[in-house]
Amino acid sequence: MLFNDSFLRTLESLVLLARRLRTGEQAGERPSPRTGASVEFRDYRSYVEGDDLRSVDWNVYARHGQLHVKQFSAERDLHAWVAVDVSESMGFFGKRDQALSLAAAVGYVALARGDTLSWEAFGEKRLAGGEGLRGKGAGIGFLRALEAAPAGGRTDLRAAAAPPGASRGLAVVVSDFCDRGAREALHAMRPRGGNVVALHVVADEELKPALEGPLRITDSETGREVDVDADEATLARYREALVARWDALEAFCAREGMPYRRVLARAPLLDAVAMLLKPGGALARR
Amino acid sequence: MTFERPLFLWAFAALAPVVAAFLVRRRRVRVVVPDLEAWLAAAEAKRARSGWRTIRDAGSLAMNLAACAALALAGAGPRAAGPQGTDWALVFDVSASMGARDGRWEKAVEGADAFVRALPARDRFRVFLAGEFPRALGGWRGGGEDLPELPAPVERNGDVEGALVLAGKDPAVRPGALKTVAWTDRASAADFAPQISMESRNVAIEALDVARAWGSPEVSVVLQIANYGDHLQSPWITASFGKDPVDIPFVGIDPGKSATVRASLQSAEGGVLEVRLRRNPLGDRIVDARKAAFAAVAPLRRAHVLVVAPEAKSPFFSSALAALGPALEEGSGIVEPGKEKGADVFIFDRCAPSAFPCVTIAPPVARPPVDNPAVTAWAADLPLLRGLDLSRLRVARARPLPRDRDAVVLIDSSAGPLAVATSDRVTLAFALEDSNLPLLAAFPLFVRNCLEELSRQRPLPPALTGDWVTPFEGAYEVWEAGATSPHAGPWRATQPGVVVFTRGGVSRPLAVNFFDPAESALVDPPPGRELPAPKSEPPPPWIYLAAAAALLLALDWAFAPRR
Repeated sequence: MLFNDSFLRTLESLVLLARRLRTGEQAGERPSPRTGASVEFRDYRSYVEGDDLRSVDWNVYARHGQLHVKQFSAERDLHAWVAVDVSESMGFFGKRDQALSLAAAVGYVALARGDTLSWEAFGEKRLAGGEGLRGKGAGIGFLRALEAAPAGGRTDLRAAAAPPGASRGLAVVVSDFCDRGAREALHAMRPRGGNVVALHVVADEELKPALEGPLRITDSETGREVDVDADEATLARYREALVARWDALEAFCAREGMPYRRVLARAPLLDAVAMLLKPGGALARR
Repeated sequence: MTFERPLFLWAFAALAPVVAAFLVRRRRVRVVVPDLEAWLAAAEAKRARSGWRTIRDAGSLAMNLAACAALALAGAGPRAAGPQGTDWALVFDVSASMGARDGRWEKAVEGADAFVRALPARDRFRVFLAGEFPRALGGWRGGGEDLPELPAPVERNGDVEGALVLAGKDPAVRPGALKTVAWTDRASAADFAPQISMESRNVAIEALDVARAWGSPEVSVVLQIANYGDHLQSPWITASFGKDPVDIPFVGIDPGKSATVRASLQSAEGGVLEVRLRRNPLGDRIVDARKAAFAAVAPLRRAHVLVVAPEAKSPFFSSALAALGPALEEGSGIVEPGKEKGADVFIFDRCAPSAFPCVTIAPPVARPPVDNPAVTAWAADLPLLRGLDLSRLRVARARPLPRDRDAVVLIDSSAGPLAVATSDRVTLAFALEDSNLPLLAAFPLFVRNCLEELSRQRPLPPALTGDWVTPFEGAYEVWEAGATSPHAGPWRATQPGVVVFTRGGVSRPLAVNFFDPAESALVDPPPGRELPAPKSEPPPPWIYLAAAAALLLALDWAFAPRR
């Protein structure tokens, strides 16, 4: 089990944030622009034949002599889609564990809030996933399925395909974004979900690799190799290139209006979740 | 190039581990990383400097290899084979006179010991003993080693010349490297002449004797030629004395044998006797050897003789001098005591000698006279008594002379020596009128012999190294030991050995020694006249090699990448 009870209770007190909310088709707890059967008054309209007489506001009729019907807001659910990168590159420095934990936390928050949850674990293809999960009762199964998800392969964000129902909801992508097409893939997710949150899992060991001397460095995903003499100057240049790449991704997300959070792989999960609570994040307290 | 410790050359095997360590050091460690993009960017910039890295790595390997090689070479102790050292023939006169109680032998050994200790390592030395029979003592030793244990000087004669010849014939001598140093107390430097130089080992002039017959201008030459090659015949032996050819009689010398060749020189003057052994026109086995021997031939010269006698006329000497005739220079004659000066030879008749060289007859001494001493022996083989028959000599009264160690007894008697000779004095123990000597035919011969021997050109006193030597007034030529041609004077003694000065056919040999010229007064060299210091040897090559290795390692350390 990924979480203990106290952490689950903490998660149950949170709610997913979506800037441009497009609710789902099923009833839920989120306000919808549609009229519905909630208790929240929305507007009046003239009575037309066939309207339920129980919805006629008789006080208005007594005052104005015309029949008006009260309309109430409809409450719909939010379809959250959580995509977690379990590719080979995530297997370093605890990044995959942190990513799975974050995905589990976000997914559980969605289920606890009554939203519909779809999820998938992907590498260069979809490796595991689930759709249309609702209610806390599905939470345990979700967590176990996530925990048992296979891992490996190259990172290809284009393989992270949201189900049709999730295209109008909230997409949360947890990855190290070791993919040259990451930005295009994130951009492509917007028309579908409208709200995309990028959780970038990074490790200190990536920034400060304990390497020296002549090295033959192999890419874990592609097997490509490069010979490097890891002296101080080379390491500094490496750090510079790495940070520039991360910053470029963050700048892209800012331009696209996507919340972006950089999460340390070794950071405690509670701290990582707390980062998502900050303004511009993906979670909020109820 | 040679090595003092060639086993160290095995250290070159250490080059292999160095190369292996270099290759291992260069081997890249495989590292798998999540993403290669940032590393590619870093490697792209690094690749621009890969040329420098290649040079630096290759340079580092080269410097390490060079340092290891330099250390191995330094350990092996290389010695340059270029300029060879000097082979020193140390000749010790082991005649009994060297054992005098004034410590001359000890001083000689001490000086020789200090000399060999100061020799550079590339020099060698070998001790040759000049005794009755010249011989070598031990083998060649390196500079800085100890002298071999020398025997006590107890032999009757010291053949220094023979020892020098023996040293020159040593087959182990490196060509052109031989120098000789002689420790001897011999008074007459002429003992070193004639010098013989040899250029070939196939044939050798073992001995050369040049002598002038009594009363004759003819000079006889005796050559001892050893043949180590093919059969040698006299037609292939030519000799010349100055510009005159020397007629060599026919002689055949079998291989491994030696023969005596006698010839005569027509010139009465001294000069260079050149003997040449030419190539055998038939066999072609005999090496064309040009043998030049320098002959110091005693010149026949006129002498200025003064007889110092109480009487203005001495009938004996008047007739004797008259018999000498042209051998006397103008001004010769009889003078009173106190007026003698400026003569080649003095004859003091019953007077105390006051100038030298001289013949002293019945000098006034306090010894008691002896009547009728019987003549028992005379040294007929000495030049002074050559040709004399003294069997009929009778002496009425004499004051026999003491047996002095430094004097040679010419005429001995039952009462003691009646005539003795030293290098510059002949003394008779009896007055002429007390004997029948003036009446004998031997008397004029005796006078002539005395004049001849005493007026002989006196050898130059041995010189100390560093001395300026003036053998003749004016221009003269200098033949240094081993030289094939002379050079003009003045000359300064810079090396021990024998040098011959010539002018107008007159030769004067000179022995250059380390010691005081006084034959019997061996003293320490005066200040500033030390043994010739061997050339200071430059630092051995291993020091440079070790320094180079340290420098290379330091450079490698400075330019090696820090990890």
